[in-house]
Amino acid sequence: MSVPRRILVGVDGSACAQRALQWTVALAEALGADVVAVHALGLLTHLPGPAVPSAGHHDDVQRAFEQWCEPLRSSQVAHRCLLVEGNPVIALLTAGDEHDADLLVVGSRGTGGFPGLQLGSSSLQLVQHSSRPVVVVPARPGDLPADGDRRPD
Amino acid sequence: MLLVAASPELDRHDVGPSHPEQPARVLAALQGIEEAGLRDAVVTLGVRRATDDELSLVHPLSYLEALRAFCDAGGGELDPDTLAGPGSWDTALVAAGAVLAAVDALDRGDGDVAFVAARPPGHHALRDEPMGFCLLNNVAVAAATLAARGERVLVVDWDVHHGNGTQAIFWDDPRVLYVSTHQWPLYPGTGRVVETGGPGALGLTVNIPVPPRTTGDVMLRALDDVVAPVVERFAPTWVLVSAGFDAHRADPMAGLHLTAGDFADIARRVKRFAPRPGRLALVLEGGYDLDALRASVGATLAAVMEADFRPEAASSGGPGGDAVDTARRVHAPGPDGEEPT
Repeated sequence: MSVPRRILVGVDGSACAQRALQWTVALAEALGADVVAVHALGLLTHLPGPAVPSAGHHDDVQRAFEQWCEPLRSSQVAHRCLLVEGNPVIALLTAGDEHDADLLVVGSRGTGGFPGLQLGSSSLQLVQHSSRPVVVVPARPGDLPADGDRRPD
Repeated sequence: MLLVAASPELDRHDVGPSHPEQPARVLAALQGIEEAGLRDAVVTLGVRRATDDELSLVHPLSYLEALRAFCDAGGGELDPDTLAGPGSWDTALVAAGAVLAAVDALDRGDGDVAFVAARPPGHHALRDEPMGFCLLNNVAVAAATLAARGERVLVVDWDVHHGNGTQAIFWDDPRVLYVSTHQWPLYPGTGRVVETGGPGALGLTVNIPVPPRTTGDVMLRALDDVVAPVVERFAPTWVLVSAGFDAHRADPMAGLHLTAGDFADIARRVKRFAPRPGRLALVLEGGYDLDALRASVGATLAAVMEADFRPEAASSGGPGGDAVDTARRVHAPGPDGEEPT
């Protein structure tokens, strides 16, 4: 087994995803790996809501994504930040293949889904469907629930 | 006659007040029929629920069991966009059953065209995954049912989002021609023009991704120049429409610039693809601005019923011509008339 050279991490602005990103940065620094950060634009991302202005909504998401990726920019790790369209699980699997990632990292937000079979939270589905190693960084007490922090401020 | 399948009184798919996919959408669609003056042409269909046997033509029983159990246990978030609650399973069965009831009623000769106003929508649902507000792929279940009877089914998907679920389900199935016009780039990130079908059904997936601000004239050209020749070669015996109305210029979910008048013109073109009356069913997918949805459904159904209701003029002058040209090249037949490779 070889040391991971490229790590792909899912980013959505939630506290748990930020924890996963920080863990990824630390691992990449230790291994000399590069990082691809991916944020998937879901259907609701396109719907301007009370938390975001209606004009230039996509630009707002882009700006928020750049803020979320600040731990990467302030590190010495070679990295790319990608906004892609789609379901987060499918987007991460696809990006993992396109960028030939050695490792996928996501936060476990502990919401939604149910155990077993085909359905579950995004992290569970990723583990079930990925042909690449996956690390799920656990939430900590006090991390915001996913629903409350999905949209950019 | 216009057959209408809708049962808003049975809608218990509760996704909370802030979600855009609301029960009021069905009511707006039905109101559109009234405003179009079609009441006297409407025959209302009875309710029935899709059975496991019918759904399993598309969805594995393990998926159906999992979804049913999830809803029975109280539901929750299936993905960041897709929610289900205790009543969602039954509502989804009613929605899928409504499409089957509409197809069966047309098959009996009960009407000329059918419209199904039901939710949740279906075209993002994969065989074994819910996605994009969708739990069961209503149109795919009906298409698979017809295909199993030996029919050749054209599915036209004019929702602003690509119907990734329907495409995936029929990717390698030569009995079904899947055609989608959709905004690009946009959720779900599939539907590139080069996605044309699997080895067993090459050329039978037609994607026409168009840029934001595309107008109705471009959509009509796409239907005339790209879709019509493929449809002629395929010779469908049935036409099902994934009729989303979120390509309307007022819709908050996307950026195309269609009007109710455009949907009327598009529907008139699509009606020509049906081999005879009684072989066209339109099924509600997206559409999240209620005023736009009401006007667009009214104009669409008036058009297919040859009635005069056009609350908004057609649009023109937007971008997207290049995308149509590209799709036309991709789907041009080979020198001997064979499907493109």
